[in-house]
Amino acid sequence: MPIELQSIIKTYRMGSENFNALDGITATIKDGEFIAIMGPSGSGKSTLANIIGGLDTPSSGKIFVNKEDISRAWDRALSHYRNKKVGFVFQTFNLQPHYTALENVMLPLIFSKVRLRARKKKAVACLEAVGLGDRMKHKPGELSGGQRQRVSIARSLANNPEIIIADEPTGNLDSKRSTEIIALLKKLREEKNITLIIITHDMNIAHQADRVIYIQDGKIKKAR
Amino acid sequence: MKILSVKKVQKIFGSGETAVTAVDDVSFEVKAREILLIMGPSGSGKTTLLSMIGGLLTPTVGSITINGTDITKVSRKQLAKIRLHEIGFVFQSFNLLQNLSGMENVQYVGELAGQASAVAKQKARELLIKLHLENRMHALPAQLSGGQQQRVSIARALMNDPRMILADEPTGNLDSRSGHEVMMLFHNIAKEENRSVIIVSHDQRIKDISDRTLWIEDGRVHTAPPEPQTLVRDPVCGMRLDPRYTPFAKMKNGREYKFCSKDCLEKFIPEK
Ligand SMILES: Nc1ncnc2c1ncn2[C@@H]1O[C@H](COP(=O)(O)OP(=O)(O)OP(=O)(O)O)[C@@H](O)[C@H]1O
Ligand SMILES: Nc1ncnc2c1ncn2[C@@H]1O[C@H](COP(=O)(O)OP(=O)(O)OP(=O)(O)O)[C@@H](O)[C@H]1O
Ligand SMILES: [Mg+2]
Ligand SMILES: [Mg+2]
Repeated sequence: MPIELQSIIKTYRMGSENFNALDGITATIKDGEFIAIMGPSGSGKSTLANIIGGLDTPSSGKIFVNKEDISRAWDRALSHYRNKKVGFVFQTFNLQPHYTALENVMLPLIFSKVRLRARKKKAVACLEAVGLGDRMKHKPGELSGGQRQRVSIARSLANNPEIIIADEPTGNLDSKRSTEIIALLKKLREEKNITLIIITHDMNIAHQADRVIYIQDGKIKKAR
Repeated sequence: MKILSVKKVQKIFGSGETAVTAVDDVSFEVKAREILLIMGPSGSGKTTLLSMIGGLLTPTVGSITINGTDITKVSRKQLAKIRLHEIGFVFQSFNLLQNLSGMENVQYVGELAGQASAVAKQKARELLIKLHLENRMHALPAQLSGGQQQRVSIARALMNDPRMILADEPTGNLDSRSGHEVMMLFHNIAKEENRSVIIVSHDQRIKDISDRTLWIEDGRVHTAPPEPQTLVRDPVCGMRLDPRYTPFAKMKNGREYKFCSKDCLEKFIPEK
């Protein structure tokens, strides 16, 4: 699905001052494109990812997904977009501590019409794809950092998304695992024409993208 | 001088069929001024090992001696004291108190250790400024970016001038420039202030500042595997780079130089 961002501004209030975490972002992401977003810590990458994923709304500006303005969408349409179209990998995982890895991956499928058994089968397949077949019954507190990160990746794949937005998906992984995960995402993109947006500090990953967008102080500094 | 001695340590989680042996028969020592890097695949037991050294988990078997005291044998109260004064812990997932600002998260550990409020505040400020958080230190963790939270967590670990710093993936959420600065900070603390630093990381570049690497696989110490490829050095910041994936390069006097960023490339002045 093509994504178009028009003059996106996100303003936060800090005490008595306002500051723009995003300060006029305009960009077009083509259907099936693989984009890497890079930039210093605090530059606005996660804020932008949340807005593209429909998890947050801009203070001003528009986002068109498939020509539809999601910044103006009403709640039902927005949650449809979030739950059915987007797979989101959080920088800090956002797993439910009281559920097992398997249950965490099954959660996003609750809102789909898929039957329980099929849901389970799909979740198992996603966990196996990220190398966690032997940790499905563990809760997040019983998993290592990299294992939690991979549960979060498996969960993002469960609903067969058309857009995957991954915020630092390999920050906690060793280079071998990291390479495997990126290969998995690239394969999905080739097979299903998924649009892939990866925020990363890792040059090796950015190098594989079709395009790199560099963000600094909430603005696009340059794009390759 | 020996600061830490880990002897035949094992950790088993759970019991029966679901038991996981996360750390198995690990022994090593760390001296003052030493920087030890611990590497290994995801799930190999690194965090578990570091948590035991930091007194956050008790080993199933074995002893951990810090500065002459076996921390597996002391009372809870004594352990809490050792943790507060001797150990600074940087958590893989930050573990900041959500209802306190970045500043307060750092300040309170100073006050817990008996510093006067004004002293603790001043110290916390200095540390946060060193970590480039001067503009964001009064924000709550939820209002900070991932890398900003990571830096607050590093400042907190340094607050009581601990003899030993234990850092779990301290650069996992940082861009290359901030990551490099944090590495230099740890390096200076170890070498100039006689302290020991243990870093768990998959970031190959930390090898630059570490004295020694311990490779852990399936909970056991192995001999480290060879480096995946020959790395080249950025002549400006000194960072090691994989030449295959480095887009920033410049030919000068018949030699090719590689850079971590455009920033370093622009700063580069070749020697004659
Ligand atoms: N809820 C909030 N309220 C106020 N400020 C916020 C909030 N969320 C983020 N910020 C600020 O907005 C800026 C951009 O944050 P963002 O999380 O997008 O950065 P980032 O580029 O993802 O950084 P990192 O690489 O460290 O994760 C930061 O300065 C951050 O402190
Ligand atoms: N509380 C627990 N109960 C059961 N198993 C656990 C528990 N904590 C950790 N484990 C398991 O112990 C093993 C070691 O975990 P640890 O967190 O030490 O790994 P790690 O080397 O730090 O990995 P990473 O690089 O992914 O952070 C993992 O397989 C993990 O699933
Ligand atoms: Mg971020
Ligand atoms: Mg870990």
